[in-house]
Amino acid sequence: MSDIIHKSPKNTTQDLDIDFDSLLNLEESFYQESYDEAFKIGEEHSFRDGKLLGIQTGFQRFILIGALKKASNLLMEINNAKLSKENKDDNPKIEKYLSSLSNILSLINEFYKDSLINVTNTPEDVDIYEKNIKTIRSKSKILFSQLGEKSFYPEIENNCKEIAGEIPTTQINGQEDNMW
Amino acid sequence: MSCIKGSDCCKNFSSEEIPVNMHLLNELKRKSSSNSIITNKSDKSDDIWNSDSDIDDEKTLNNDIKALKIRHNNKGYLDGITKGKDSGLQKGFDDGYPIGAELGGIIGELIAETVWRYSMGQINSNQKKIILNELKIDKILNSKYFDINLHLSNPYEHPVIKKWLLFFKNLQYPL
Repeated sequence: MSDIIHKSPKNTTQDLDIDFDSLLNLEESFYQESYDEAFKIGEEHSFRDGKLLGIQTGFQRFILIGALKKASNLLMEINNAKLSKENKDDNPKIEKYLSSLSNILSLINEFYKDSLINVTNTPEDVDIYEKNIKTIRSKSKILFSQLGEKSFYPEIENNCKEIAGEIPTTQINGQEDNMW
Repeated sequence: MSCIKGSDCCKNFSSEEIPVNMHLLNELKRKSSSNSIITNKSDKSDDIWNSDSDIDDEKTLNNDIKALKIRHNNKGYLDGITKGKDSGLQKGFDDGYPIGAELGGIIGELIAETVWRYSMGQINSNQKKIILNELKIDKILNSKYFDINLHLSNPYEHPVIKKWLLFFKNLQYPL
């Protein structure tokens, strides 16, 4: 306040030296000084809660991606080994399946960098996730079955669900309730 | 209240009467001027009232500014704390999301390997149960594995992850 109204020693109204610009913005400056301070307090207070929720959500969203990456790699390795031992004519479709498996792995590997999942919560990354997870899930389910491992996919999905728990449906972008 | 010369209101007065009246008037004036203390007091009194009015004006102004400050400070605080909490929650979420994704990815890989090894008969149901139980989210995300800022520098150094990765690596059976 002392910045706004300067009083002469006599303290009379006539002697008030008023900074009219500040006076005009008085309400705004009172609001802003309090707002800035409270914003910092609020931000610091909820950052940790947000981080916990972020870690949990990242975990829940990408557990299936990791599982399907490992499962696809296992099936690729096993079927490649089979293919090298067997006559191609015995199972003509296997090469096609392996090519499809390779496509799934390419989609999965879009989330990876140096053997670790490398994603952010930016709208672009979330869009890629939303788009790819549906394709990865549906194709894996069919392909694992075609490769003779019918129970492999549901076993993986059920265990992922059990281990990661249900995805919270609030405060997260996207349709998490439809993830499974 | 002025009147017109020679009008009814003045015509009953003789010319002598007027000086008498003037005398009275002058006498009143004299008395009035001799009573100068009262007059002076009265002047001072006026000054005092004027000065008090200035102080009151100033007090009112200060009180108004104080009230304005309190009102806008409170509103700013409420808005700030709400927006700050939203912002902190979002910033924290964005910060934690990649850490959780890294961990989730590795745990997913361990789940797939566990399911596969079990289906191949390379681990028994009890081992499978133990492994899957240790990989549960509440155990992996236990705060003891994170630093004070909930940071994890290398997820492969997470003790539970490290333990089961090593277990599968050392498993004598091939895929």
